[in-house]
Amino acid sequence: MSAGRPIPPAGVDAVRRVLLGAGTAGGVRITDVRTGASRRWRRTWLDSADWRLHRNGLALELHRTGATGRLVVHGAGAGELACPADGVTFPCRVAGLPAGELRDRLAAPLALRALLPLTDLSGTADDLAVLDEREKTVVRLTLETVEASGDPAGRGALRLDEVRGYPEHARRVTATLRAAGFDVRVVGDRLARPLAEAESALRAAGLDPGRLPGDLPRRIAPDTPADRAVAMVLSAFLDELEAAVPGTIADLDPEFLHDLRVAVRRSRAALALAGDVLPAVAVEAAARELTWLGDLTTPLRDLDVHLLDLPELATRLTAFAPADLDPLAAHLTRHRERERRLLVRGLRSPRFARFVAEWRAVLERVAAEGAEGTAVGELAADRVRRADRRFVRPGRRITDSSSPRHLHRLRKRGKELRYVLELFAPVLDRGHQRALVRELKAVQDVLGVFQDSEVQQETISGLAERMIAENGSDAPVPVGTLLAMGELVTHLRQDQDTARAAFGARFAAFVRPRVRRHVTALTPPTRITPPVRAVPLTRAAPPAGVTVSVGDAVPVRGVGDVVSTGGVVVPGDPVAPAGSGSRSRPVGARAGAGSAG
Amino acid sequence: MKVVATYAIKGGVGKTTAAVNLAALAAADGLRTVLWDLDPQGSATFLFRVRPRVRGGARGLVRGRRPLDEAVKGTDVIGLDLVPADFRYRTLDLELDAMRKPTRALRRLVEPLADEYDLVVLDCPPSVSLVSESVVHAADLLLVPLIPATMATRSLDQLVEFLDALGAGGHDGAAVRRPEVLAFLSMVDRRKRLHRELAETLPKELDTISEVVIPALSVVERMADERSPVTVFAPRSPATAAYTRLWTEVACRLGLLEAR
Repeated sequence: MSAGRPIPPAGVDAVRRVLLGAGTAGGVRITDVRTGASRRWRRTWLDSADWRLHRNGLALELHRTGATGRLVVHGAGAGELACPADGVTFPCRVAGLPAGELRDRLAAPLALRALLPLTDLSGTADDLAVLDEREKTVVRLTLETVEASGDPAGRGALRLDEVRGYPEHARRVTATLRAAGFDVRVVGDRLARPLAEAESALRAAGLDPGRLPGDLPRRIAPDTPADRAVAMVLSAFLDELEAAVPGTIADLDPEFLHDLRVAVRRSRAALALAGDVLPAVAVEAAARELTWLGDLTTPLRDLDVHLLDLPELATRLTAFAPADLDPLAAHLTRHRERERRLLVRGLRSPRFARFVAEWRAVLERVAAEGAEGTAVGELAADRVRRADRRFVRPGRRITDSSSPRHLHRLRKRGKELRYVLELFAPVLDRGHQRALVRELKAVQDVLGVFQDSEVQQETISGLAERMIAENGSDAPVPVGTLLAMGELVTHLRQDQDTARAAFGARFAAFVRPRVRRHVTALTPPTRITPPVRAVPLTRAAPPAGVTVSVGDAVPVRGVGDVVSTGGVVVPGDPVAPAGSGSRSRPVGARAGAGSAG
Repeated sequence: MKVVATYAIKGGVGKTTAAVNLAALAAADGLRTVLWDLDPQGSATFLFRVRPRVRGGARGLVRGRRPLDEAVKGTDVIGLDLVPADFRYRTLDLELDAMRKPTRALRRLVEPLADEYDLVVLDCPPSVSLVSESVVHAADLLLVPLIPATMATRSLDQLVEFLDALGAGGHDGAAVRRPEVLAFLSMVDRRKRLHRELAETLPKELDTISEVVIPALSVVERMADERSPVTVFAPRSPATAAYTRLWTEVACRLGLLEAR
């Protein structure tokens, strides 16, 4: 309800009075408003942590009356499906739901993800029927009051359900009630009604349906100072990381750990590709902790991937039966439990808590204070140009005789380019950005299969050795299992060869002129002025050539006093601390050096 | 989507009453239901307080100038919509006769509703006509009310003969789909010995006659005053219980309630 409108008196009677006093207009006459019984309701909305149901146009609710529960799913061509939910506790995976049509409907969109209770609402609902001169219902209204909504007058919201074939009545009732200050939400058809309900319930609970913690901030513009923009983006990645921690610790589903690792990887990539606009010392500390987190999470994720891939790999066995791989699955599961305990310990450690707190404080300060200097739009163009060049040049040098190491390195460069395109997405032209990502993905897919097959072959061979060593002679690994693992390695080798053969054509497609045009459009010539906070700065602008010694206390805005790692101040350029690698190269050093390709 | 048609060769046998109550029960069971009042008298339309008028009339509909879903009106029963009657439906036969493949016309008109509805109920005018042929072709189940009289089985025999003839070829020469037939005794007065005897014996003699009997009760007659299905305004009456049993049988035959 917007300010300045009259506040209507609460309740059903007020709605009746307003509508009956409206008279006849546009051939629409309201003769009566009938009220039905008042209902109490209590509902829990459920979805995965990444809104898979919402993104598929579905809303899942748990309706509770006393000790019994009913699950109801609405929307997306499913109409409405329901099943009893007695004995089901949430969070739960799809396999934990009662077998039937509802579970089948949710299986594909949810896949591995657990269902989490998102919000719980209760209140009262009063139905009203608006009648025409034939005393026929032409509009249905529900006055819904949410408990604890902070609305002391208890006015609630009026949901308006148009009765099919009477659109003019719905328009008239909406206009009349809105003019009187009521909050009217028009719901179209029967299918949209529960979806709109879910949407408003979730928003009322302070949630933003469909939005993920790692989604980039909407308020970044091309002229936003680069340091602020990068800090905001890194804050979003930190949100994503933190959001994944409880689910990872509770082991609700394997995707939480995956999300956590994606957040770590994105953060590391952002630091590597644009961290030079942030305080160097803080960047260095964060990079170290992110590397630690990456290492901490790798063993468990690797085991998850093997366990998840195993059923599919087993179907490819020809000479052996899938059951021959059971001892391998048991081995992986045993190790998984051990690795999980180690990971949980790490995520609960003071080190992790300190990293999150300190990193967030740095990012918030930089994001709030901003700085003059390079605008993020310019930085984006510069970084896309560089990342593209770093991918295309070695890519052109790949031949049939290149070693797997070269292909692996190229894949990493491709990832860098992908991250740059995603990192700066808010300030890049959407059409060109998406098109380039799509083309890049086609190359990365074959490089991915190539590399993954390589790694899996090595892993399976390594696992065989470990299983033999661990089982000893008392309970030897069945020969069938080892031979089946050998057959898997053969299949993986074939996958790798196929991917290798496909690489040439995919890469050639990426460097064809049509795709180069996207790069040119995304990288207009830039004149990047160096950012203020590329490396530790002295309080007074140091004259050119002044050396900052290792150990000097240097005040840095947004961080406080930091200890310099040393370097020489170049006119107009920040100091490049010794040993900090190419990441700390002055931003503008190679600006305008010609476009890639 | 399934199509049920209430059909009788003669009028006043409880055909519209059955169509309206079954449609209301289907909607209450959560099926998205639409009732098409094909009878130009428009009794079902009157009952639901809807104006008996369809833009373009019979001609507009059968010639496809106006899609059927444009004519649909919501009723006071949640989940139940209505395609109202129109006095111009009395010329529906003539309109159909002027078309190619007239027996297929109703099915063609109803098919686009499949995305929106689980069940279509056709309330047909009492006659043996081209409209009847088209209804038979469109329906998955023909629901036939029978008055408990010694001639009751004869009218059912006539219907079966009619369906057999249609199977060999309808008005336009093309074979007509043969729907399942479910007859039931309607307006049964338990005080009459003949009614009681027929209600007892007929379902045993013929598989096509349901064991469910719809009683002649004053509460059913009150529908016209209440302007509402008896299942809605008198949910605890014996009439509602009887219609509920009949609906369950219909729904099971059509496989509509199995998944729920």
